[in-house]
Amino acid sequence: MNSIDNILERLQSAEQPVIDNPDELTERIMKSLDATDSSSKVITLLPIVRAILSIAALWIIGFFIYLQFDDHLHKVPLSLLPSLSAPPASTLREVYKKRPCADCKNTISYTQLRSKLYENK
Amino acid sequence: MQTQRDIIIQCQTGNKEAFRWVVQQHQRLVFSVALKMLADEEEAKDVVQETFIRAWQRISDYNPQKPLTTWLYTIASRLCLDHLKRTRRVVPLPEDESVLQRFADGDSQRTLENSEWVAIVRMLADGLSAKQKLVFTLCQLEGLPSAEVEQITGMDARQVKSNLYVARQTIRKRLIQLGYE
Repeated sequence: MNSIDNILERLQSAEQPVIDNPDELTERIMKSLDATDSSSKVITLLPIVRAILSIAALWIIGFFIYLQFDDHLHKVPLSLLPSLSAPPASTLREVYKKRPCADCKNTISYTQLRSKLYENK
Repeated sequence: MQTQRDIIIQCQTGNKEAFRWVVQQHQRLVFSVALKMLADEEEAKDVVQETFIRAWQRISDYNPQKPLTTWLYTIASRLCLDHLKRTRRVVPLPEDESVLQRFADGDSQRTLENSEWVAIVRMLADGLSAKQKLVFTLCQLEGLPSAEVEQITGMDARQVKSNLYVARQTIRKRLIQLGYE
């Protein structure tokens, strides 16, 4: 039986493993370099695309926030709204609130209306 | 006549023909370490390919003052360690023992076939951690000096010694179990 040290020494001094077809492996490596070169061009474009998409996303979010806080766009004439079957008003305040807007300029304020009613009583 | 340094500088300017020379000169060295680490010929070739792809991609970072072989060994070692993490543990086959026996009893001048290398590495490296296997391969099988192994692995001298000692002890116990002394 050979000693263990002898086995390990012989392994160290043994000739390196040989590649079966070294030229084929070299060609395979050189072709893969071409493939990685073309993919690296795509990779360099990614930061630019990412920047454009980020700016677009910020713009959309900003526009959305602007739309939420802009009162002008929320004012719709009552005449354009579909008539809804609302429950009948029961209190003076509800009657006052539900009055058509066409009468807004000519009507008195709620407080004035209330005081007039009390005076009539 | 161009020196290796001149060729590397040409590679850094994008000259692929210069890099072809680098591949032809060093692919066997990288294949050797990959085969001994992974115990599989096809996977070793994949590691060789990946090593040179990475070397090409990072050639501008390489300092021509330092040995090219150390740099290539470093890339190959890291790829082998990543591969070992992803794949299942390699276990010795029943016929591997007879290959080791033939090597132990045979002529010391005889060249090993790749399949014999695979069988012997499977027998010896069974039970070693990835780092122990790497240090054993670089120090014992490739015959690299400790200083270079430290550079390749990123370990300090104490860690290299410790991993090598444990690897040798594990292999020694294994061989004793198989009847060697």
